[in-house]
Amino acid sequence: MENRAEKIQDYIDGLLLGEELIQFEKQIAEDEDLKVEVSLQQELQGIIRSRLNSNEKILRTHMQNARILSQSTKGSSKKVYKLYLPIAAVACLLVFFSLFLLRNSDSGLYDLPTMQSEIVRGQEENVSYEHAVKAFNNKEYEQARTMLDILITADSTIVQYQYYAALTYFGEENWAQSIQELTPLAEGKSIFADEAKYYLAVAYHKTEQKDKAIALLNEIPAQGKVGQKASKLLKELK
Amino acid sequence: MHIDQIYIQYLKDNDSKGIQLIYNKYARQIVTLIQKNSGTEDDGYDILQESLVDIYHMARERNFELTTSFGSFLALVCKRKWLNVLKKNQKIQVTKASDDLFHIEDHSQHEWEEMLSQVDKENKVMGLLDTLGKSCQEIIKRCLAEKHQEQIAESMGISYAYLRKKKSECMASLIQKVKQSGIF
Repeated sequence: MENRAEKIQDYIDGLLLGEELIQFEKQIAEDEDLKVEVSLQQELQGIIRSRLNSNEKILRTHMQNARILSQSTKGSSKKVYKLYLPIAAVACLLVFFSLFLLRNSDSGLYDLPTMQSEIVRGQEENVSYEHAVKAFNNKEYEQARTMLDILITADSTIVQYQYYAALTYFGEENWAQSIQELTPLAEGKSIFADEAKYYLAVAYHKTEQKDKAIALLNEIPAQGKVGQKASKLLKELK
Repeated sequence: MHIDQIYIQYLKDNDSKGIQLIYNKYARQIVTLIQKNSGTEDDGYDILQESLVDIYHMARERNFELTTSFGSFLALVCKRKWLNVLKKNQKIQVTKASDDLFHIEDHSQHEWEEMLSQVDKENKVMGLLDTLGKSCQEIIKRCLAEKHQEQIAESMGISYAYLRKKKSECMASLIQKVKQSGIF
């Protein structure tokens, strides 16, 4: 069943039509909390869209150049590398922030993620995929893999099928096969690359290849859930 | 319109020569101001840069007109920003006296204050977006910056349905962070 967040997103994206749209607008008019939530999401998206469309990056480049010139003109003894100190400070803050979050995180380091269903409005259900989701989340990994392999044969460009198929070996604790399947994903540039690196690192850890595990964990950016898990595991391994 | 409106225009136009001119003319004044208030030269340049970025965002989408000299306005924005840094770092006690130190009399100040508060809010939202995982950031940014979501999904190697699911999930995480932060 579709959750509230998805419905709000669909409404904002203009994907609600006809009776469904009328009903949702009626709901918004009657439910103050929903109204606030929709308006907050619209405002946030407006802010992000506006910032992404700005030329802030170019402006910053111009200002960096102007700063260098301005500082050198004034005969400042400070070296240019000092410009990077704020960046280093921000990086430290991020590390601190992630460590702080880690202390409050209960998510298991070796647990597999929940496989995400694809059922959304206006899209025909991908039956094989939904069977795979059910099997995967029930830890019936072989069955999930069979379904995913069918999907991969039908469309080998969808990385998400390959990622979850690789994780089925992880779920079975077949570490050698996990390493083989996860390596190309970890080396790729898809949105699953960091997650693949993490599970690949765990597989290396499980097969006593600590150095490889540490090297991979160090490549994962600190932000987000996977970054937090990576930092925590890294701490454990060291 | 104030004659110094040209400096706002330099920022809006991303005019590199104009930006250099701003630095040549105002950097020393701002750096000295920050140094006199517990900051270093680097703090001064950082504050100047972040303040100019704020002015850029303030002017970009809003009907912003200077009613005073650019130097006075820039000093106000820099002081406000520096005061926030000091408060955050607890270098100074937040007292009425310290607020008074940074007070500038101008009838337009309330209007500016509102605009700058909005820019602060936007900065915080963008900061929170950067704390999400890489894939969530990519999904949100691409979905909001590009038109064709089917093409985004294809280029990311995921199905369109999966992209929509992830997008609403990522937006929900961001909203949760925004609510926790008390920005709105």
